[in-house]
Amino acid sequence: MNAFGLAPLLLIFPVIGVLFNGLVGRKFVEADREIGEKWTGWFGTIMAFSAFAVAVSLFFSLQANGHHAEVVHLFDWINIPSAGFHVPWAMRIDTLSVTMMLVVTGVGSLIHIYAIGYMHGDKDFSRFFAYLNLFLFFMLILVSGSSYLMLFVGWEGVGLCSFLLIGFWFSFVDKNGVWKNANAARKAFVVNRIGDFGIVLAVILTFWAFGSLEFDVVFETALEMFKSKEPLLLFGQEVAFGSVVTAITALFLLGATGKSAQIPLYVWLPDAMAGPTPVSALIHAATMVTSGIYLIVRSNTLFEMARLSVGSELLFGVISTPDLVALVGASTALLAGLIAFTQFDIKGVLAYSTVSQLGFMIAAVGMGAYVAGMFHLMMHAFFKALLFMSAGSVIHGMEHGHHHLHDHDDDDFDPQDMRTMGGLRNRMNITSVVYIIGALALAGIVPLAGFWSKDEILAHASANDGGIFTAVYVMLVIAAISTAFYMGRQLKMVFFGEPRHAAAAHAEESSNLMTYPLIALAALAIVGGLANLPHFAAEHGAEAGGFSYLALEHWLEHSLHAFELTEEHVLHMPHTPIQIQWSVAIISTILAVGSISLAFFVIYKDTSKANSAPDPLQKTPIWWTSVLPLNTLYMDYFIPAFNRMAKWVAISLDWVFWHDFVHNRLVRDMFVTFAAFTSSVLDQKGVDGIVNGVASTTRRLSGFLRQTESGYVRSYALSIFMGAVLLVIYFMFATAG
Amino acid sequence: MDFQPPIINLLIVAPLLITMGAGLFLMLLNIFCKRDGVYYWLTLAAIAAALVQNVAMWGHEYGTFIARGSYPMVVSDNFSVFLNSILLLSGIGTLLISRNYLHRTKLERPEFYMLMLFSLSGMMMMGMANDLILVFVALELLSIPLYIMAGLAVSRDDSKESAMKYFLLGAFSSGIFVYGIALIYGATGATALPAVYAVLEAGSPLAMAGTAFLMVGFAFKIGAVPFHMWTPDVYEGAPTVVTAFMSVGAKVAGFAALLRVFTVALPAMSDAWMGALALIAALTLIIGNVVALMQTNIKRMLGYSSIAHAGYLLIGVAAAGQHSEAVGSVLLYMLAYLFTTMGAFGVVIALEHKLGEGIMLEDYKGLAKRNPWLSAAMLVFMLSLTGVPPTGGFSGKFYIFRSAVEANLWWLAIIAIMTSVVSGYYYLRVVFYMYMFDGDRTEPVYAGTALKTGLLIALVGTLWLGFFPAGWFELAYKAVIGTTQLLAGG
Repeated sequence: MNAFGLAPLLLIFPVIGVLFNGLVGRKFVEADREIGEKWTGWFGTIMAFSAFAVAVSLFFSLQANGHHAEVVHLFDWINIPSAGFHVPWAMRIDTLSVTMMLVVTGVGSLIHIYAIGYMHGDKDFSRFFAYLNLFLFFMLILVSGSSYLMLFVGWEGVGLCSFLLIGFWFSFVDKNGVWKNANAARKAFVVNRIGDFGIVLAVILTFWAFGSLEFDVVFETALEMFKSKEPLLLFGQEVAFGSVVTAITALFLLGATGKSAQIPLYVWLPDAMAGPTPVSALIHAATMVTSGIYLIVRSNTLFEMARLSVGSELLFGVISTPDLVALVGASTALLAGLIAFTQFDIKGVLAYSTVSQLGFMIAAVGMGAYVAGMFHLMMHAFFKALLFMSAGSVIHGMEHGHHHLHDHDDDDFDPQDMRTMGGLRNRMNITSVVYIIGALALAGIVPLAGFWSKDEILAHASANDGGIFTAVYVMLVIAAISTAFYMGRQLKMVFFGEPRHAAAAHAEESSNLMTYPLIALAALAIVGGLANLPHFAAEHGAEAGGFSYLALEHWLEHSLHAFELTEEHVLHMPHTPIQIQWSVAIISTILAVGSISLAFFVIYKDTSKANSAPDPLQKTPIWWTSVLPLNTLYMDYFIPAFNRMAKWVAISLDWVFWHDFVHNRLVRDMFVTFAAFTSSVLDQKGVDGIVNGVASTTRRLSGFLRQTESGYVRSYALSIFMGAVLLVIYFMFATAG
Repeated sequence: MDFQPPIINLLIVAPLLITMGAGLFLMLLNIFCKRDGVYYWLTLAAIAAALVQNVAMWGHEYGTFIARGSYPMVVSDNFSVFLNSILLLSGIGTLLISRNYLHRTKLERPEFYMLMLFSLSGMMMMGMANDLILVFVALELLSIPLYIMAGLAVSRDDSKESAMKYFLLGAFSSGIFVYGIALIYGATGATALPAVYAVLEAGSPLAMAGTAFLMVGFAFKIGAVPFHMWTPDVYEGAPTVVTAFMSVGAKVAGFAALLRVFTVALPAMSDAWMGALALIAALTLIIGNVVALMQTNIKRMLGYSSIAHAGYLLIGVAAAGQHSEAVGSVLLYMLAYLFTTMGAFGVVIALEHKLGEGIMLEDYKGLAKRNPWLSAAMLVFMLSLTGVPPTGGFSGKFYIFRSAVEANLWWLAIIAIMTSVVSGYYYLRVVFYMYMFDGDRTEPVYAGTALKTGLLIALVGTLWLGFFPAGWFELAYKAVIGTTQLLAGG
């Protein structure tokens, strides 16, 4: 019994949602706010759930099918026989795509429910749900497409949806007169374009090199070329196979740095938090930003072949692409983890945290730990969606509290500023509990979801010697410590201590529509780790009887051809430990617990601080330093130094250098200058001159030619006659010559 | 010698018989029945029946009217089935967009339907004729009803004038065409296309002059420069529904016969006529697109636009010898042209509230506010005529330009692309008027159900071809394989 025939429904349900909400939803909401919101919101949600149901049925079909990948052909799309270019619309149902589908639709459905509560009262309620469903549609195309071109369609589509949703409140102008949301949306779109350009080039190169874009054919052809070790003929030149595959994978990496917010293109993600919170949770934490990881995992054989390239085939002759992937991921994880220290915006911390966690995943897949990367992707989807939505709930609560105050004299009140919060644990019970669960899961505390997935990545990094693995390991461990620290800081600032603002004292719990999905996600964040528990002792075999250890690994290995090829000794993947690395696990747990506790003691140790307190790190005495001379050392040297470093990273490195200098000055200003040059000199004087000249000449010509239309039949007949004569003459000459 | 009766299988010409028979039946019915709706529905039913019968013949090759020891006079193959389907669809489209218009302008007379059915029969025969004599008969059968239809609005002088002009010039070009047949016969002693092919040798001066004269006849029908002069006048003067019918039907039929005659009978001179066609194509593209720039009358603008599109189609014909997919591209382009042009004329008809009024560019001001859906449809059609993805016009141009490039007609491809850019100016000007200006009128125009149905079909067709051209192209490609070696590419 299999349900592969149902696969098209996966795409059809979201489309129905888009059509309903996009075309008639608004009418419903306008006619009757209450009922209209219920109808449109739940309609979109039910469509998401239906897609989830289809994904589940595909899951069981795959199990019944012995995990064999199935390609469901929908219809022909592009067909150019003479170029051998044939791309159908087809869906590839295998364990990897189904995993992604389950995450996208499952987490997506919960976020839909939450959004019904969160968007309540918004004037564009139905537009929001239309966009959300459209996003699901494109995301599902991205993960289910059977070729790189289909993947690219989805890739661009989710980019568009991201743009639309970040700028959802596009008409919002902040108190400085800045179009904050519209700017953020544009920034995300433009920065992503750089990465998308890489994908386009990679797709073109893939077609040139392998003659197809279908995953099956590409990997098959690549493998044959890899085995035969013969150079390819590209543009009339012989190119080593290693160089080609390195180029393709490097371009994929460029695409991934855009969509998955890695160095150097991560700058759009923190701004993207301007969008509504359900969007941050769905697109900018759980699903879309992971498509870079999906792309790399999908292309695992290509990356593993690139790993084996040597000498001049390497990237710049120095480094292989997977190594570069791992380094990019690890440094992003570290950098973003440090930056998160200095954020006061509750969503800002989570935004940098997302960048950092995406770095973990990218580092994992770069090291060949594809399963660990996917595992972390899933777990991260659970707890980061949970954290974002809880943060949304906190913001909602704060806004409520602020409205409750009746005196709106302080217009500067920012409901997202953690400095105005504090003590919310007592006002918002459910939210605080689920938030703490999410934060602990993210920090990697046993036995929550994040512990298992993060530990698997660290274990993988430590189990392989040499090369970049040690560097990656060190960077990731430090990043993990920072993770625990900034989450501890956030918990302390938001939920503990005394309220630092009247709004916080009057905050209210959000509605059930918002809290129930949070509880569901919190449950997943607690037990999610069961999906891929490692073996606890060496004597357990690979197959551990009834209890399914490493379930995800056994599930995904059917889609990861590189594993099989490694067993056949065609490829050589880095070794992955299948049992728990006690040393790594214990060290990371101790560090995480220590780091959280440290944060708790450092941040706002005393009771309420003014809500404008500049930096809690600086002013906090620590109890154990007060009895030891360490206090002076700590207060006078460590904290300022640390503070300076964090600040330097955040302000100098990130904003001044990277955002302002590189992105604004170099990229944007150069572009503006170039655009100004082209528009003023080239375009207005040169091109416009030519165009205007051409246009006026054309118009004059047109006016002249129009006069030949005299309206007299005799002149028309003459024209026909002359034409006939000229044709005869032409024929005479053509055949004579 | 005994007389041997020719082999006749009427089933093969059944689509023709249906339309022709329906026309004759309506003529008789005219004595008894004066209700207009009856004619409309009967015509629609007849065309639909012909379409069904036509499509049923897909995938077979038949010949009929075969004298002993000779070639069939009429053939039916995928090529003719594909083109006849386009023609019949254009008939259905014309009916749908004409329903309310004829009523509104008091033009609804039974003659319209009869003439249309007769003309349609002639058009279909153009693609099926396998003998020069029959091509001529078909040409006249398609033309004469059109002359009358152009003058259907007897109350208006420009309609009568256009009918007279069309008739005189048509007769003139037909004369040249017959002369061409006579010269070919003189050179080869045959009129059947395969027989001409078998006998003809390159370089025969008689045959060369004959070929040139045949080309004049076809070029006149498809409105190619310099035989295009009648087009704008007739398009402007004729009632708009007739213009719509003419712009698709007559052109497609002309190309059908052009392709069959030139590729089946005259491959021996292919170098010469392909070069001539390439030159005509270039001239047509330039003049059609450039003169269209200055038009302020939409019908006239569409007239020049149809000249320009004949140019694009001619590129595909000129590339036929060098590239295997060229003729397939021409067929695909015709399909896109059918939907787009029918749709565009549908909108024009919707706006023409009185005969000859509401057809100026000015009248489109502020349409987007009054009729948002109508304007959106017009936007799509204009984009398609310009050749912007994802519309059928883009797919058609894409395949045609590709053929030109593959056939090493680089210069022609470049002219075609540049003129496409020029065409953007006058097509998008309509869009500009619709969306950027406020009009004097505020009440929306009344379209009517039939017209809306027609527009919807045209819109779906245009976008379908734009999004998923692959399947259609395969169909068009199949329609060409097997007709002749040259059609399928040499």
